[in-house]
This record gives sequence, C-alpha cells and structure tokens, in this order.
Amino acid sequence: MDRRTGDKWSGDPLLLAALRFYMEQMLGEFPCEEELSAKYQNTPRLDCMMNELKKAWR
Amino acid sequence: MEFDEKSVKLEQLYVLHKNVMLYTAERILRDYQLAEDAVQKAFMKVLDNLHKIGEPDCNKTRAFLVIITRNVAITMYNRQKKQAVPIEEIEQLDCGEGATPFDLVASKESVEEIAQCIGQLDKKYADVLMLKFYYEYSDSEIADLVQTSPENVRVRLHRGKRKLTALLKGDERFNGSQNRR
Repeated sequence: MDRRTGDKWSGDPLLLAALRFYMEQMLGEFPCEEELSAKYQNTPRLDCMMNELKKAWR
Repeated sequence: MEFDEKSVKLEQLYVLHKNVMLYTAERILRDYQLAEDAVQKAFMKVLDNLHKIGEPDCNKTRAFLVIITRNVAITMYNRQKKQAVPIEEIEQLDCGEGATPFDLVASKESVEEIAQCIGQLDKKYADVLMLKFYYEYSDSEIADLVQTSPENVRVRLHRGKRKLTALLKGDERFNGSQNRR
C-alpha cells in the first residue's frame, strides 16, 4: 500500500506479478529482434537526429 | 550519474531498443519518417527519466520504452488528424479504500488470469496502470510521459482500476470466498 495516498493497489505482489506477466506477453507480440533489425537496417536520419539530441543535451 | 555514464546509457538504450520503438511508432503512424520523429521524441522523454531506468538490456526497460513510444505516436497521430481528444470527466475519485480485487484471489494461476484481464483493457488504461504500479512513477511524471494532464492520469487510473476490478469479478474464478489473507 502507498502510505502517502492510501492506495492499496501499490505494492500488491499479485498485481505486480500480473503486470510483469502482462509486460512479457506484450513484448512477445512483437517480431523478434532479428526481424526488426533486418527491417530497420539503415536509419541514418534517426541516427543523425539522436546525435543532435545528444549534442543539445550536453 | 555522471554525464559520460548517462551518454553511454542513452547509447545503449538506443542501440538495444530503437527497432522495437520504430516498429511500435510505425504501426500507429503508418509513416516511417513520422515514426522516426516519434522515436526521437520518446528519447527526449527518456532523457528526463534516465536516472529511473534500470538495466538497459532487460524486458522491463524495453517495455517501458514501448509504452512511451506508443503514447508519443498516438499523440502525434491525434494532432495530425486534428482529432479532438475526448476530455475525460473528472469524477469523484476515491483513494483506493476498501479491499482490492486481489484480496479475493488465492492461487498462483491467478497471475496469468489477471494479466489476461489487464490485456483486455484499453491500452491507455493498461499503460498508466503499468507506469504507476510496476514502474512506480508519480501521476505528474506519468502525465509527462503520456502527454496528458495529471488530472487525466488520475481519471485513467481510476477507470483502469474500476474496469480491471469488473473484469476480475466477472470471471467466476475470482468470485466467492477465496481469501488470500
């Protein structure tokens, strides 16, 4: 339970286990990383945008 | 966290999860360039929360990035379509007093069934339940991550909990007197 808000759902071990299970199921719906890597082999524009983001962040 | 550590971590997250984030965004936006924009926006949010992200190479982190990307993409889609996002009524919200539906559940098999019920929820409710109870973000942090207001986050949490409770109670395996405590 979250003592600040009194939310009894917070920290419930069964809910946490179920959310973890749901998370694994959700990820299981995606193609495998090999397929994704083949699909998105070259991403020069995104790579460039990420470099710009890192520079701006610095 | 030192800047160099952060930079290395960001790079790891990008290399490890860029593809699944692109896939998530492209499914929603149906446009590859927009998907790239969505992934970049998602990483901007990641930067704000880098200290709260654990191991880069794990499913928990991967799922978190998927959730962020999905919500960024949906926001972009709605803006592109100039769709009015329904204003969810602020309801009388309780603070979770009373028993949780999990108090009625006893067995380990229930984990899978609860997860299936979570899977039946609208993604906007499942995502905030995940971010709140699994990733332990505050309402205002969740609001920033899913690009809505903290008030709307509370409404979604309230509705998500209510719908999940209804789904669980509707399943006969969760009715009756199975007491966990």
